Amino acid sequence: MSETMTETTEHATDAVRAEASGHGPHDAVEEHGHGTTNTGVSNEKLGMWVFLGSECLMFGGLISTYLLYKNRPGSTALDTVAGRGVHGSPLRPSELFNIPFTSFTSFVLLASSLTMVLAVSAAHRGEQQRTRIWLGSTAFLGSLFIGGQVFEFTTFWHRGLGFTTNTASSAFFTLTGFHGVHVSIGIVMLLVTIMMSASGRIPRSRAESIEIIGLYWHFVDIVWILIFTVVYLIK
Amino acid sequence: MTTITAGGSAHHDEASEEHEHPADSYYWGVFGALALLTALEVSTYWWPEGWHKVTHIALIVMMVIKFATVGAVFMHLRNDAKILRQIFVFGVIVAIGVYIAALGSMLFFYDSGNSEINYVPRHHPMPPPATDPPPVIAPTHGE
Repeated sequence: MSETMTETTEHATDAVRAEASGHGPHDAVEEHGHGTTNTGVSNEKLGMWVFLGSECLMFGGLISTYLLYKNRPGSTALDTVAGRGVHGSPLRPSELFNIPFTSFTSFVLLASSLTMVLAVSAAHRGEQQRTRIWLGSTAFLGSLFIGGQVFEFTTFWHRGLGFTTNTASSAFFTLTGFHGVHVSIGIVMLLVTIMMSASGRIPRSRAESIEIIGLYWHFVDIVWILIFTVVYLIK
Repeated sequence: MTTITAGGSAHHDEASEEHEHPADSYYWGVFGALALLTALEVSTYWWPEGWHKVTHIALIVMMVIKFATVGAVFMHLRNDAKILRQIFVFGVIVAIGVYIAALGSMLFFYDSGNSEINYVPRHHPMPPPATDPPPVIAPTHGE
């Protein structure tokens, strides 16, 4: 009974708002791409921000673990179980860093944040073609970053640093690998969005969906800002 | 009825705020500033070894500026609804608090393993790993 009353009140609220703004209720939904909520923010956008807030905790844990082990390259659990002794290889990831190369890939990811925000801006202006160009540029720059990460991991492997070499390497590959997975998921999301936009399924009224993907992408960039400084630059 | 209308108009203002986007040139300007800051960050890698304390502080300050700029401008937190800013800042603060406590409980701030920061020499080093094979127990024959 009370649920029915709440629903009726919400409908009445929408109608009053629509009348006040001079539009019909359907227009109000079309304009913002979602119905009105108590917070004034769409549920999808709010959900993405809550997700990003929780992601801070996950990456915080991975960064802390790397900080704990980066100067103590001990054995991994696998070494101990396999009876290879309690001391792993003393090789540290920081001894193999190629700072000019990583600086370049960091710059590429930063540039992808610019192209992403330009795509969101174009989507809000209703410029479909330009939106797709900027989204494609973002996906390309993201792929360039992932390519750089694969090259870096391969180089480390050839120089004797694998995932199970020691605890420092495990922490390093877990942290940067998780970030790489996030970037890869972002690239897939961008490509799907480009295809949906090309088929006319993302009109101007639904530009917020591109904005939400943009939030995810910028978060991935923000996390790399932390990783680049804490892992690579602080000796 | 009046309450509904007042609440509704307040929400409408907040929602319409999120659709205000600066010109593209503004984003290019912010990107230029971030790129310069990144170049400055990278340059610290070649600063003299003796400057490590200054370098660390400078790097952390630049990292925080870049983090806040991307969040405020590119993620529109500066102009978006207040609740979004609160959610994200809450997540960041909880993460920082939890992991500072975790690192502290593991004595990271007392002995980080880096001699340039706070290395504590061990007077009683760990014993070397045992190399002897495990003792073989002779099979017992039933009497």
